Amino acid sequence: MLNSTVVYLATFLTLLTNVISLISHQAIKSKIFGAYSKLTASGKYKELQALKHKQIQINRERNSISAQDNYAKWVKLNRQFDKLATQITELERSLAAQKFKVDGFSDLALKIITILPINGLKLWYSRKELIFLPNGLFPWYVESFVLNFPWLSRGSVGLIVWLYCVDKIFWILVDAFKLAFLEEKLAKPVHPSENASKVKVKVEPKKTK
Amino acid sequence: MADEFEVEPSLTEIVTHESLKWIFVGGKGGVGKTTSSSSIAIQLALHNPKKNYLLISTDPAHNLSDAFDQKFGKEARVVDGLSNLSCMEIDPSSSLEEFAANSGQDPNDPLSGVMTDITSSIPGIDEAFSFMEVLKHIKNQKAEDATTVKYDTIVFDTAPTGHTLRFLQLPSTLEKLLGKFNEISGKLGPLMSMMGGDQKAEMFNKLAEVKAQVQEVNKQFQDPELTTFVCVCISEFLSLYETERLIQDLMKYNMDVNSIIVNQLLFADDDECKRCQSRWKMQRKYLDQMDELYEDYHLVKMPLLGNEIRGVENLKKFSKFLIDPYDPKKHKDVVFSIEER
Repeated sequence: MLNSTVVYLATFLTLLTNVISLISHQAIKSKIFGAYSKLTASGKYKELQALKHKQIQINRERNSISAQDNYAKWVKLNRQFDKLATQITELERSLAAQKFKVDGFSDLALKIITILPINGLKLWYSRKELIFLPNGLFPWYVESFVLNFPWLSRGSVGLIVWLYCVDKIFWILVDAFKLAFLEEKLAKPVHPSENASKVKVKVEPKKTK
Repeated sequence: MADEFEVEPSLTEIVTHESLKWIFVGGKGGVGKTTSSSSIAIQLALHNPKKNYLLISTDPAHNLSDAFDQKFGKEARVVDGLSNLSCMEIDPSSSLEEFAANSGQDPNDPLSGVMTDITSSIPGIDEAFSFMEVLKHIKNQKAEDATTVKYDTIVFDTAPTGHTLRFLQLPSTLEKLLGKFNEISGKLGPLMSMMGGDQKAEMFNKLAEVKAQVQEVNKQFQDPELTTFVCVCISEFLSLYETERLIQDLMKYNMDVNSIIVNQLLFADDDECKRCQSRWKMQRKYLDQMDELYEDYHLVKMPLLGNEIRGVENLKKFSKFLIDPYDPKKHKDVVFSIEER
């Protein structure tokens, strides 16, 4: 592959990994599961909703009648309630199993996307000189020992150093963005004496002799 | 059954059943389980003089001896006055000692003492031992040996704590237990050999044998032609609700339930006692609800008599009403005819 292709591909992959970790794996997995269940299992969810609604109705009716006076009716409602409860647990269990499967799949997919290609590239092209800097851009000791990390020729930059820089810049930009535009909600600090009033501790005045 | 819409309020069907081998009698404490199970056993014995019956109590409180006014033990003993009925009271703690002694461990050895303590605190261990008696009897039934006594039907007077269900669940529990045991012994290998020695392989074989027997018993317990459960209760809310829950659980285990005995009924329509009338009114309220709720069940209504029902003669008088339903007008005299023991 051309040097430029490698650099562009690796940069893209690194940025992709960082964006994914920014959004968080959990959010991505739930989005995937949401889309999947909308396509395949929406019927089951509607059924679950209906069952739960019915159960609430039965419960309301059951609580409204006196168990002692209408024992037979109360017990019959009880039986219906229990039957619905087993149906609901069974349905929820199958849906949870499905979610587990889908989550496992998306987890695996994410891992593969974020780990394999970039590490593969790094391994393959680690000794290749990819970017050549103009003469004298940096002091001699930086060019000879730092930028050409895996002992490449002086003045060249390899994949690992380049990606390190890309990574660092990305996170610096993210922090700057957060600082400038986002306000973090902090919990209001509580004065220790406010808590002390809730805690019953006997405080005795110091006896000075 | 000639009339399909009316389920008769008596236990005639059970008493005259040809193939029933196991009858469980259970219900929450204090409702008259022992009296009911003894009554059922007596009626069975009286109706079928050629057959042999056994009444087993799985309650550690020795209540059969009190009910029949005769000492019973862990070996079956014939009831005085009824030659085809025997009773057995299984005492789990002594069974445990016997088991430990049989497996060749010195009871004074502290390590085996620990094992015994652990085993005796396993929940349901009482039931496990009564279960082993059951297995023993099944083996005897199949044996061609003429000296071992064979019983046509065994009636169980279950313990009041609701461990009955754990007892019934024993086959699947045992399977899981055996699986876990295999796992643990695999991990603790050398340690186990220190404690058990060469007996380990022997123990495994025995456990596998027990497992097979247990599965056989399970099959029998789920066959309605072989096993049935009789629920005993009184006509009060808590007892009835407990019975309802018991029936739901039994249905989950696929055990046949078709009879409910309601004890301690007052039948005080013609009584002058105001308290009895008020209580009877409350009982009747629930009885009507029960008739509606358990239409397909034999709902047997038993009276509250003037005295405790102890001894074979009194039990005979009481057990008649399981077959011939109690009519307050016809059978009024029985209430005060129970002799004191």
